[in-house]
Amino acid sequence: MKNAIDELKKIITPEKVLTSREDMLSYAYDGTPLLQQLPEAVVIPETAEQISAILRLANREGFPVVPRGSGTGLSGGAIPVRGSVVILMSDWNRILEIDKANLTAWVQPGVRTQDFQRAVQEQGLFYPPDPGSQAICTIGGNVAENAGGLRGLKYGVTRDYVMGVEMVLPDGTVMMNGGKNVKNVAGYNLRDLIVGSEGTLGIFTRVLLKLIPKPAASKTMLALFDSLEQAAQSVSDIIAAHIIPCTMEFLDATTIRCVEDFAHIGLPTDAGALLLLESDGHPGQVADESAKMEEILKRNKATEIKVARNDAEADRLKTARRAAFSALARIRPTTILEDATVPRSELARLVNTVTGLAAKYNLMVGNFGHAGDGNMHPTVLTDERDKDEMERVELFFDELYEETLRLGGTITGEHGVGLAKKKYLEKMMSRPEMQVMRSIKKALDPNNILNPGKIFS
Amino acid sequence: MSHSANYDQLLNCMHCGLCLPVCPTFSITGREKDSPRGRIRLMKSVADGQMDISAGYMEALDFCLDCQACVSACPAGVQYGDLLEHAREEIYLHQQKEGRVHWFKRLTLGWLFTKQSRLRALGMAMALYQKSGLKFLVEKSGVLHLFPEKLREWHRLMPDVDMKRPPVSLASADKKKKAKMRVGIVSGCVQDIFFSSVNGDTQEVLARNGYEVYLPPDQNCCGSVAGHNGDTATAKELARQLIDMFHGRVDQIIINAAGCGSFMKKYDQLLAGDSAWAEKARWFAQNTRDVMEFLDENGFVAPEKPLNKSVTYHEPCHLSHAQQIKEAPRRVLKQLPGVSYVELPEASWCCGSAGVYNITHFEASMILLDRKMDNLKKTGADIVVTGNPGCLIQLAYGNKRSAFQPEVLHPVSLINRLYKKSAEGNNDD
Ligand SMILES: Cc1cc2nc3c(=O)[nH]c(=O)nc-3n(C[C@H](O)[C@H](O)[C@H](O)COP(=O)(O)OP(=O)(O)OC[C@H]3O[C@@H](n4cnc5c(N)ncnc54)[C@H](O)[C@@H]3O)c2cc1C
Ligand code: SF4
Ligand code: SF4
Repeated sequence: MKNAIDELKKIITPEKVLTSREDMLSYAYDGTPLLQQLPEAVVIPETAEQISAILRLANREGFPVVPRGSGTGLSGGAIPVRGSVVILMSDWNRILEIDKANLTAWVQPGVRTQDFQRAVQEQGLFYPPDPGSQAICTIGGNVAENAGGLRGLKYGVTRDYVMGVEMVLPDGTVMMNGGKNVKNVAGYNLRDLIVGSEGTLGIFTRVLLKLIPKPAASKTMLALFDSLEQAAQSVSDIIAAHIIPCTMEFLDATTIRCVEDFAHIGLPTDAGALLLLESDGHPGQVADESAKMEEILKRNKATEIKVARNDAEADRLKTARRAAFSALARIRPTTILEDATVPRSELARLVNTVTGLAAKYNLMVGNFGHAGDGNMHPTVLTDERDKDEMERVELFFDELYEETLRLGGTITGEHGVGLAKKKYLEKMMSRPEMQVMRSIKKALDPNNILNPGKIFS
Repeated sequence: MSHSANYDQLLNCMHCGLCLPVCPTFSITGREKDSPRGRIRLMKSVADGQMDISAGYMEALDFCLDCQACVSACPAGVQYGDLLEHAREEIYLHQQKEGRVHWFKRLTLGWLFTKQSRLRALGMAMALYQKSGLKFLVEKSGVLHLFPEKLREWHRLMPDVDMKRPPVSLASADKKKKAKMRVGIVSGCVQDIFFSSVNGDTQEVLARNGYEVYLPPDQNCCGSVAGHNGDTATAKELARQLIDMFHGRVDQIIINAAGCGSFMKKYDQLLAGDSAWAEKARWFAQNTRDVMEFLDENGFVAPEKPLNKSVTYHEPCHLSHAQQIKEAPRRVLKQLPGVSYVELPEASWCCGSAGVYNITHFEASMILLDRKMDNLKKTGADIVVTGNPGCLIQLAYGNKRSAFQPEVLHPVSLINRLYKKSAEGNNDD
């Protein structure tokens, strides 16, 4: 390895090759609980050519390479592999072009999602994907995980906004795929392979993103309920009434209390559940849509419906919701979040399953998520030092995923498989599917040097 | 694995990274070890025995401003300030054991900051240097160019000495009514030398509002300087001395320096294990108020004459993040007649003062100061107010570096200026 590190220092300036114990420890993790591994080195390249040279060296010397954005991933995608070199992309933070004629933007992969949203908003444009981590996560990480967000229900996920990617393939080849054409059916659709590849098929160096016009109006509201079922039923009813609001987020009682404890925005801490809803678009449509939603909420016995008075108030509500996951960490030392997703009609059943299993295994669980997408984040609040409890946590998740799959759901809606969900992937996928995925990886990365052991072994 | 309260806090950080975008040192280097999440990880590594107290570790923690912006940002409620203090204490004890406490630290923490008379003697020497014209001569003569740039800049950073102490006590200005309560002012070691007039303004504003004010002379440092540097034993001793000065003599304790205030409000934690002092420490902590917090809580007499100036507010880290006092000073300022209040972009970002950070980490401090001055320029304000001596010194120095130069004031001085103006106005009538 010493030899390889000397070689790395010839490819990029030595100051950008980090090897100190302190640096290695502080890149040993991402947002995933319980997992860590120290890398051998962390490098900060400045050009695609340098990345290409590093990957060629890796093939020659046989060391694994792990790309990293801001390290907020929740499945362990950016956690180093034993003996690996981490390629840190968060310094690649320039917005290269905002093309108002074509409604596109070229960005470097280290641009923070929220910075990008603000920059396009100043031009009257809109980039919808807004993961809870948007203040710090990077576009590169979003593309690699196909991240979703609060607005996924109406506007879709990161994939729906990626028009092109420049990337360095595992063998060091620089490849450009896609472009500014709105329509393009030339050849295989590589984009859908690249998006969500979790850093295993290439390292992105530039991304071309689609923009849309900023909606003219929006209305944000909060509905409170006594019970989980009433909230879940409202979600199903709203979808069944053919209304697709921009946002429809769910918080259970535990999550409400934690969020209020942090954000002090006046959430009633005795509520059983709440929904955060946003309608946006043409003012007439917003008025019509939110009136219909209010009716459905009332029918489901919402105890209170509060409408945000202005943008600032709406932003405060959404920011508080984005803090939900981290806020749950207030209660117990260890916070383990999952990403179970079911067809929307099954949402109420999933919510009940979580409550039932929490009781069965005697665990404290907070539940929240992108209800409109059928995507919940049941979060176990526990203590990693308690062996007995940790065993029950394991059983809880095993059974939860069995049930999720039985409901026709998926083991991950937006966080990816990485290391954390590898063992469930084989259960969910058919053998031919696994075979195709392995063949693709093998074809592009015959020496298995790029983020090996992620998604599948 | 450990089960101490400190270790629980370390575990409580679930490494989500939501604190990264607000961390000033991370904004400078972009390296994880210079971020709150990275630092917490390093502290945990030391606790887990994954790493020794290495030079790199000490450097990483030294580079931290202790601004606690990460505390405001952390949804998980991680008390980073407590973690840092604990880690610095460990480092200090480690250095002590190895006999490697830096001589400068020994001199300042163990000697200079433990007796105010020593600090005042130093202040007197500085005053002599400044007032005799020697400073002027040194500046003009060009001798400074013989010294490294840093040293020259420190010379420019040093504010003018202002150590003429206000009276020990002041009766309520309203002679007809009984005083509302008796309040004590903590004079603070740095204010006592550089900002005696701010202590005077605090006293006059409180008296003007019907309080009887007690300002004991020769108070020592509150202990925060020692505490923030890991010398807990000295901090405890200084805390006991300060409590003793006020306990039984006043109803509430007023402080106009955010850094001291945040430390004093935690005396209960500091002395929790000291049975003879725990009760008094709790009383002290519970009854300590920042002067702006106090005026916001209890209301104040509106000055009659308007200011007719635009004013902006820079949030001292140890008020905004360490004490979570964010809106109170703004509410007070907005009530002043003739003040057109302008919000400062990134108002809660550290100005780079951070105790002696501007001396120990001059370059990083200046990056933050220049960023602050750029933001101040965007407001176009005539006056910037801020309630911490460190920030006052830093912003005044900012004016020497920037083309945009707002007047720098403590908010309580602004209020007193208006009271004085109103009083003069009344005499005119
Ligand atoms: C509080 C919190 C809230 C969250 N909310 C959401 C949410 O609402 N929706 C959601 O989908 N996710 C959410 N996440 C998960 C996470 O933020 C996303 O997966 C995000 O996309 C990760 O971005 P990152 O920059 O941190 O990437 P990292 O964690 O650094 O990396 C993630 C993956 O991307 C790869 N990668 C990074 N950069 C590149 C590159 N340039 N080229 C190739 N591969 C690369 C890495 O190898 C890794 O596999 C949340 C996380 C947290 C902590
Ligand atoms: S300190 Fe708080 S915000 Fe920062 S990483 Fe830890 S839990 Fe997240
Ligand atoms: S105290 Fe300030 S400088 Fe230190 S880690 Fe927190 S935000 Fe960063």
